Amino acid sequence: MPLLDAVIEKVTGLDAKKLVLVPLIVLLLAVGVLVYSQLAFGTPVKLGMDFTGGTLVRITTPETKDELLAKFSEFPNVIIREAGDEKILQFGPMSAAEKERLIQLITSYPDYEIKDVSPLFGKEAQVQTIKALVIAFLLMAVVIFIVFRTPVPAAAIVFCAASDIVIAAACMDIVHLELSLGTVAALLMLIGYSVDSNILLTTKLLRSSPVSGSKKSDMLKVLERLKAAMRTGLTMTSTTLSAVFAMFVVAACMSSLSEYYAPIPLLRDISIVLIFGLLADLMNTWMFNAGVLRFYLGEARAAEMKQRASTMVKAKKSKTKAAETGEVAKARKTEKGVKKPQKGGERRGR
Amino acid sequence: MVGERGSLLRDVRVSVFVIFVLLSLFVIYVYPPPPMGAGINGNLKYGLDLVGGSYLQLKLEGVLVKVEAEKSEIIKHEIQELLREKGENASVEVVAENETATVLETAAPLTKEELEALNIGVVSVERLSTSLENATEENVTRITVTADEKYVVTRYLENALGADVEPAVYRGTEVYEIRKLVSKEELEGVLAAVNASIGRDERGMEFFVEGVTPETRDLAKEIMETKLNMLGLRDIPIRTVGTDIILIDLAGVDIATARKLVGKPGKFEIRIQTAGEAGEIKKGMRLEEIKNITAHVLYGDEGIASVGAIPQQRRTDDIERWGAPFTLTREGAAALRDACIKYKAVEEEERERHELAMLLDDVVIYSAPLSPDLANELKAHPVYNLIAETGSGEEGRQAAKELIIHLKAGALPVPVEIIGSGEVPAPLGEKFRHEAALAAALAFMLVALVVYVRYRNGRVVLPMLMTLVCEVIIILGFAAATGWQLDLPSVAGIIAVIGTGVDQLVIITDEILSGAATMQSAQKARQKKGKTPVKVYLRRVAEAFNIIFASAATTAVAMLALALMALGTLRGFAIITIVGILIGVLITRPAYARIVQEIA
Repeated sequence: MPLLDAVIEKVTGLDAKKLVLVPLIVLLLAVGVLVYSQLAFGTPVKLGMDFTGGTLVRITTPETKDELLAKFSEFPNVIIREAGDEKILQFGPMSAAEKERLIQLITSYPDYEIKDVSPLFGKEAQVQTIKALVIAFLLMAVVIFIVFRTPVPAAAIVFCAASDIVIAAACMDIVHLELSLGTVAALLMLIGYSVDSNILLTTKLLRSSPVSGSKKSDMLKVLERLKAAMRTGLTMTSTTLSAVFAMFVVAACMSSLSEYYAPIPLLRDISIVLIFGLLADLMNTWMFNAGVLRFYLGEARAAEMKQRASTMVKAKKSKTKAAETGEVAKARKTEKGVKKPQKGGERRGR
Repeated sequence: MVGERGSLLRDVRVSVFVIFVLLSLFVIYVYPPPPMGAGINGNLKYGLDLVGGSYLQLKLEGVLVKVEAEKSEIIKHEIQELLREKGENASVEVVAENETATVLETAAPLTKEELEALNIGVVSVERLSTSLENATEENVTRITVTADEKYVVTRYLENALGADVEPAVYRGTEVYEIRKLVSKEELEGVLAAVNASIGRDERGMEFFVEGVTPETRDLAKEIMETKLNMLGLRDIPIRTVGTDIILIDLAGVDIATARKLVGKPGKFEIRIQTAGEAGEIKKGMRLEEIKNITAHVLYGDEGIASVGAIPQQRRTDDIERWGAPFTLTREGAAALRDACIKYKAVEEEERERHELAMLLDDVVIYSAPLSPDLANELKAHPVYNLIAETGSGEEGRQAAKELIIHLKAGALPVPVEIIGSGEVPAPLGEKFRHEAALAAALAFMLVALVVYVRYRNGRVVLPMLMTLVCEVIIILGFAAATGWQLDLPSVAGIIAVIGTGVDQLVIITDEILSGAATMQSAQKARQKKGKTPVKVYLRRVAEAFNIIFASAATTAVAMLALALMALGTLRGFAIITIVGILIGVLITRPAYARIVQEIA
């Protein structure tokens, strides 16, 4: 696929440090959005009625917004949104008697949907959501650390997952999507989804890690593996994105094409959050995580070299710095000779 | 690779896969036989957001509390209160006490009736003389109250809080279940009056829990089930969460009916007017408003023996009136007769001013004077058969029907608060069902397109898509076999599984295809060393499965957290995702890897 290859060439051609920087800047911006929302509205993401309590009603009626406002003026905090004939009415918490009356009024419409959440339930949902997010994230982190056992790559994956969620949440703020139980499920789903491609990447780069004397050929091998991983990974994310996109199209757009379809808010919200999260994940995986791993593999190798070189230097009791650098070069050469057969042995062992 | 069809089918992984797909189709379409007209749905059940209906989330209101109290303190306090009400300021002293009885003395004269009205146990009263000189002058009342501590505390809390209280055992601790939501402060105030306090558990924490015991919860659930069954609804899923939350899905019931039927306890009470003018009590008034001008006669749970099965119609003055006929117990009938005679409701001139009021959940549903016939009958002997009139027309008939259900099934043991409810009307549910199917189909097509564009090789793409389809079939088979109701969150879960499932197939495919490429170039070299090409595949597949297991594990743990969220609204999504992942990792992926090896 020429397009896929072009993208891969472009991204892998960039400098690792620059690659890491872009996702970090985006993350900072996202954090900024969340902080702004926290200061302005009291929560990082605006809470929907699943969490605040209230009554939500969907009716299909030709009545105008003002007519409806007058009709429902006796109920507390009426907010009316409209999309064609479909009107969404939202009410604040009300007494049982008021609720009975409201239900009577609403059920007189031929086409309606009612959802009612008590503030008590909302409070409970808030507590449980925070619990679920924290537990899910911690469990995911534990699984990642058990699988990879090396701190830097594992931490990079966990960081990517966190960044995905933060960016997706910030995008929710930007498009004025409220936090509902559906979007919470989507954020939790992101924890699972976003880790997928990262695991692929890290496994491919760390397993059978390149060992050769020259740093340059090392990096070339890393890039080669990265490209292979990216081919698989981009395909994976695009299949997932297309499945989620299908959900979005049906749940959000079909109703504007034909009277026959009604929007499905739950599926729409889930798909929007997943789309944002998956896009953020593309960036985080193939720019941030890939950059970090390239850096890590390069650095780790360099550090290893240095250490070996210096021990050898000590053994030879070299006196001048110039001589030391010379020794490093020698040490590398010896290394090359020693290590290669070792690796072969390893392979046979498997 | 060299391989024949036969060898592929003999492979354990492939045959397990095929067996599961066939089993799934079997449970969906063959056994148990699907209902008539089910068509393509077979045995699959849909949640109410896909078929229409309403749901209720109810919280049972109650408090479980451990109480540290002295029986004698409570009895003394109650008798002192009684004396104060009577305007006496004599003191009360406890003179003897054991586990079953308490003896108290006071200078003021008290009758057995007065003390029995306190409702703190079996009472006996003696009037004694303390002075030896004048043995005929009785100046001390000796009261013996026979009751154990549990009984006394229960009655005291009931009197003070105006709620039912039951002694119970909760998590191995003896507690009192207050069947009403009271605040800790209120309870502490009530206990402080008798020098009692809230008891502590073994960790030194005050034992005060909002909620009810599992027994009470189950009783409430049972009563709700009975009420729904009487409405003609079978197999209503009622789930309980923790000890105080009940979730009910009512397919095919509108929200107003659902709220009326199980959203309130259904406590029936008959009261009689004791003061005020004729016609002062009106339908719809609350108990608080009429408490002072009426007296309690009986509760439905204790006073009613049986209830007629269908609403009864009566025609008076050309107006059709509907009502719920019921029969009183012997005690109930006696209580009614006593009350009517005591308050002169049976006297012709007083009749109009002493209406008989019937309340459902503390709201007056009917109030009227006794009819002259009934008054005369009551004068002569107890009357057993009564009708609670509910009004005229269709509305009256509906109300009578609901009242009959409440009277028959009895009141819930505790008040309930509706903490959430909603309704998806049936036509909308049907739309959602079609759209959900459309979304899944479209997702599948888009995924197929992406995969095809990527590989451009039918020999790879077709097995991949077949595997995906089979995976969804196995998930649906699981749903059919367990009676799981597919709701919108479940559909989202299935789409998510299509998305992740294909991811993992892509990983396997890429590993095996690139493995095949390297193998071809390295084949000769390896054959010299005596290595079979199969080993290359196995190593590749092993690496692919490492990645798959790791990513499956992370998704599963994230979804586990969601599944365990107690409110359970999105449990469908979480469970379907987890089941899908398990099916994928354990059944379909191994088979797919084997199949792709064969054809690559």
